[in-house]
Amino acid sequence: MICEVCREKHADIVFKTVTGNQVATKAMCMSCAHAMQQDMIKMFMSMGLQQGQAGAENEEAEKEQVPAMPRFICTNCERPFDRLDEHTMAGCAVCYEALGDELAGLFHMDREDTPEDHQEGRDPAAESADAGHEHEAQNLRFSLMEAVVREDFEEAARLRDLLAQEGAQGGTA
Amino acid sequence: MHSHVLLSHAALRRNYQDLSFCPQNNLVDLALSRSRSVQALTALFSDANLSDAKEPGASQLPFLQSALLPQEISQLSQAALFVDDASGFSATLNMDEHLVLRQTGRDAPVSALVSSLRETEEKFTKSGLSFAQDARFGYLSYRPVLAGSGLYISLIMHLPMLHFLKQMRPLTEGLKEKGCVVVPLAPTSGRNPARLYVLSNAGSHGKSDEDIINQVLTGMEMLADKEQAIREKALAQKEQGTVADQAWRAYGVLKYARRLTEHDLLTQWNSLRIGVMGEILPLKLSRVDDLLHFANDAAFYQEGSKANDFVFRRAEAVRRVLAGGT
Repeated sequence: MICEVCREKHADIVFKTVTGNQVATKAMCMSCAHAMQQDMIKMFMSMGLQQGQAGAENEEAEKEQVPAMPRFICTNCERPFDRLDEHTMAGCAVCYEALGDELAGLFHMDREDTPEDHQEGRDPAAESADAGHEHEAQNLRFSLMEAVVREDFEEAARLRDLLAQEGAQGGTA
Repeated sequence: MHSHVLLSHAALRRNYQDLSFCPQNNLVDLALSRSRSVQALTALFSDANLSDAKEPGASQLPFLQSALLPQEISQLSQAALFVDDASGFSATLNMDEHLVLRQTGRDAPVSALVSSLRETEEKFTKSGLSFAQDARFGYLSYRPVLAGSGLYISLIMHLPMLHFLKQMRPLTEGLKEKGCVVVPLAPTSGRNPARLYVLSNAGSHGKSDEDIINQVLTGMEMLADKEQAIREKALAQKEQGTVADQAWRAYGVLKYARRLTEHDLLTQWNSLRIGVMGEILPLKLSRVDDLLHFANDAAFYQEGSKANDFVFRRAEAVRRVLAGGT
């Protein structure tokens, strides 16, 4: 049987396409069958991507239709506030009423001890020791840089070793 | 004051209760705020000079003082600068807050600056003006994190060794924990040729004036001690060292240059000051610090020079100071 696509080579594969009640067959050689398979993959991929893009566009459109509500709005100057940080700007004195509790938190006003402060296994003495090691290490690093600057390489080597030793102790502490 | 500190500055930030805060596009409120402040300030300092921030060169202050002003002031509507040279008092109107009262001093203790500023504030409030205040947060600012007593102390420090060793970033973290912030003097250009830094308190909420003063002075001592320790070691071999060479080169350039840009002057000034601090150069420290007066264009604007001549006038002024003139 000759390939029905190229009409040159011998047909090795028969494709059967079922559409409703109609059945169509097509005999092809291997190379034409492979080319057809690639075309179909491209077509399905293209359809899939278009569906994905359309979905994303729909989601964006939905987002545009429902604007996000700010957390606070000043009743005087109508300035919206979503969050409070060092860059937040107040529009007037009344804005502070809207920001009141959030700002109090920022200033640590009326702060109570958090549960984390009382977690089991947290030893204040150990934390203090860790801080001490870190402080010592920072001083050593500083002295090391000083030694390098004044080209005192013997001292720099000694400080480097001390720093390594301090690091090992800090790690085991 | 410590030899590492070039300028001390105390400021009180205030806003009017009934007006919208700056920066705003509400020109009516800005005009009202400005007229109130000017009226009250003029009554207290009759000889002071008021200049609009939008006038070219009019709001120019000497280099160190100008570095403490908000950036891009010339673009702000209804912003102005009120300066009384005799007392060291100045005020900025409608720049970041409605009114910032400022007291500046070179050798005066910080506590004296704060006392002077508080006296001015007391006289000011007697005029019947009320500032935005809240029982919980104190005096209100356009930036909520700055609310509190409104007192901000800034010290301009020369820290070349810490800068050279790239120690400012780790120290910044340490200072932050102590309630202080330190920033380079020229952050916008991305350069800091003079190795100058501004140390100030991060906030004023819940703190007394004494607390704030102590906080900043503690930070200053910490930076100064670190700087001094490195400087002494670096200058231990001053005759052979590269530091001495750089100091003498800087002296030569400044003494004989015919044309100096701001950047040139600040770069050479840094090396010159290191040399004077290390007793390599036989110059008075106060004389070296006087050179910063010519670092920006303020002095040349005031004498009416043309902009194209500033670089030549700067070199001439620096030569005159180094030769023993004023």
